[in-house]
Amino acid sequence: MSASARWSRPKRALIAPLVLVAALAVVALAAPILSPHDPRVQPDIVALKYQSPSLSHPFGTDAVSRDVFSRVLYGARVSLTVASISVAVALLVGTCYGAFAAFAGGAIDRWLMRALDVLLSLPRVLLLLAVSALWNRPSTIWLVLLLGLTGWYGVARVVRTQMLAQLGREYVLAAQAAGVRRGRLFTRHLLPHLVPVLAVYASLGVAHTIGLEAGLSFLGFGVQPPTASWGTIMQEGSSVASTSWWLTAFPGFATLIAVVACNWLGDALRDVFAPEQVPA
Amino acid sequence: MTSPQTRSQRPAPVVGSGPLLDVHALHVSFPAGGGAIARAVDGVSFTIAHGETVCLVGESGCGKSVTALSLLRLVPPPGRIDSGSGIHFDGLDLLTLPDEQLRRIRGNRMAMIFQEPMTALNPVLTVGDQIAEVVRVHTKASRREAWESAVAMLTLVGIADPAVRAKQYPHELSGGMRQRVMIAMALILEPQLVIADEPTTALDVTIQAQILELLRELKARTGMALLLITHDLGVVAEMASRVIVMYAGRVVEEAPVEALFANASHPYTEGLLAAIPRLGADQSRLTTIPGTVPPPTEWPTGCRFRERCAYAFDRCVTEEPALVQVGSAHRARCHLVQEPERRTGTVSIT
Repeated sequence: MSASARWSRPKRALIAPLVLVAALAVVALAAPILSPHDPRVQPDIVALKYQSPSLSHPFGTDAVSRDVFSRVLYGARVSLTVASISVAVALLVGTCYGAFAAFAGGAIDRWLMRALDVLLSLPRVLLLLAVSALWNRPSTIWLVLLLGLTGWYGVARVVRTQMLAQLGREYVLAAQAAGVRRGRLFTRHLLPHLVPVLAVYASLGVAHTIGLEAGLSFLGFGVQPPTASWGTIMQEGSSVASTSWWLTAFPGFATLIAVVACNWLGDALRDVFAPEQVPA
Repeated sequence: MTSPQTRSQRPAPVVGSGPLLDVHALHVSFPAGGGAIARAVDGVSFTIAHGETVCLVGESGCGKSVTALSLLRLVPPPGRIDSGSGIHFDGLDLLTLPDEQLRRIRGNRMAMIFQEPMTALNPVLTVGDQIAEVVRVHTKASRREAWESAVAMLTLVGIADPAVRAKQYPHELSGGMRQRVMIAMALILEPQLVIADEPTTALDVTIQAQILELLRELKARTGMALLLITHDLGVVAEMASRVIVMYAGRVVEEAPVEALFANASHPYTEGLLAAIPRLGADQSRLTTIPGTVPPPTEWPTGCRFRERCAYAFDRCVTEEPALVQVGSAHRARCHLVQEPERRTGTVSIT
């Protein structure tokens, strides 16, 4: 079987989730163009509050007459940005930690891994709730850092394992025999081998973090009003969910789509990068 | 071979001022399970002169490759070079040299060619990048100059269409071409010593001959010394000026190539020579040495070869022979050198 025939199926399976994720990104970026109304404007808080979906307000209006459709579009920016940046932070910290442990080896590696076990034993959601509750309305930047700095443990483990596997291969020895420095060995020779596993981890991580951020915001510990993420919008509508369902249903649905899209992309990437299909 | 500006700065070699490489009492050990220690290399001494070709011969598992890796201080952990060992390269004590200075020697003044180019080349980098990298890490050459000298080097190692090949990945090349790439990487900075660890074992016979020819040609051109590790005595006859035979972590015989083929003094060398199939010889079966190399945690007492030796007698059990002089520059680690009357019959044929 030719290489292209073997690769085409998993690669084709990437198209749909990629398109979906790209569409979400475009919607978030183009929010100012796509929004029919200003998401912050309260045109008439008496006559226009709690309007059910209509042509001028496809997702209805909220308690202070703001257009929910526009708020969901702008909320996409916040939700997706928070998730992406915090995952980027997690990937950076996790890669450095895992790579350092693998390079150092011996006792340093053992201690770093035990420390990781301790960190992994703390439940992330409880930790996040405790910190943000004590903090009293953290700003969005801190939320991103908080999510990132509690999300890298898995990355560190995966990177360490992958690094150890690569460090045992002969090309590493050959590069050292050629006089390549450690830093260069990592960035030029080893990092490309980490890209597949990092790509899978990034997409699955973003999916997880979107849900996590929505949950935190829903509980009032995440993104703080007036900035709106999908979780914040849902939280604001939660008290009237039985009568004004559109306030929770639409941002909830948006969250669902984003989480499913990112998970789908992660699964498809994993199929493409499955170890038995990566040329030796 | 390389343009002047890409050539690294280094003092001109002083020819004739002692050996280029002097390995003295090299011991390399690996912790094995249960507190046991595997002495993979156990007191190996040899020298290599400037421009000389020395072959290191022995079966798998006798310590050849570990010896080679120790020369660049690249013994994979947890293995280590034990104290008391000495490796001097062009007057420098490699075992006490700071890491950064050692790094400047690796790939620049002493380079290595690996056995299996498919695994020794990084699959995610183009071969041109990997050759150019050697230039980049050791000289002040720009990215472009390094690339150009890589392409020039590919021409020199006999790769057609080098500018195109340089942009390809290792898996796009044939085995022979990959080994040529490895050679290009090792030789681009014209090192004084090249260590080639079974460079032709993974290749077809016809390609083997081409690669050996290429090595000989490049050696004549640059005047480098070559330490060729092999278990193929045909390669030895073709390439070596001097041969070191290793068995079970020790040097068992050392001789100029003619002396070795004419007058092999250690039964192990004798066995290796007898195992070469000969054209036209009246042989229905190939000759072999019975048994295998014992594991390095269980070297036998006395002579390490005695369990496989047809001539072994009581002294071989109790006393390990020293490396004794057989002729000029010819030494063997065998009691038979002193007691030739014990050599009865021929090496066992199975």
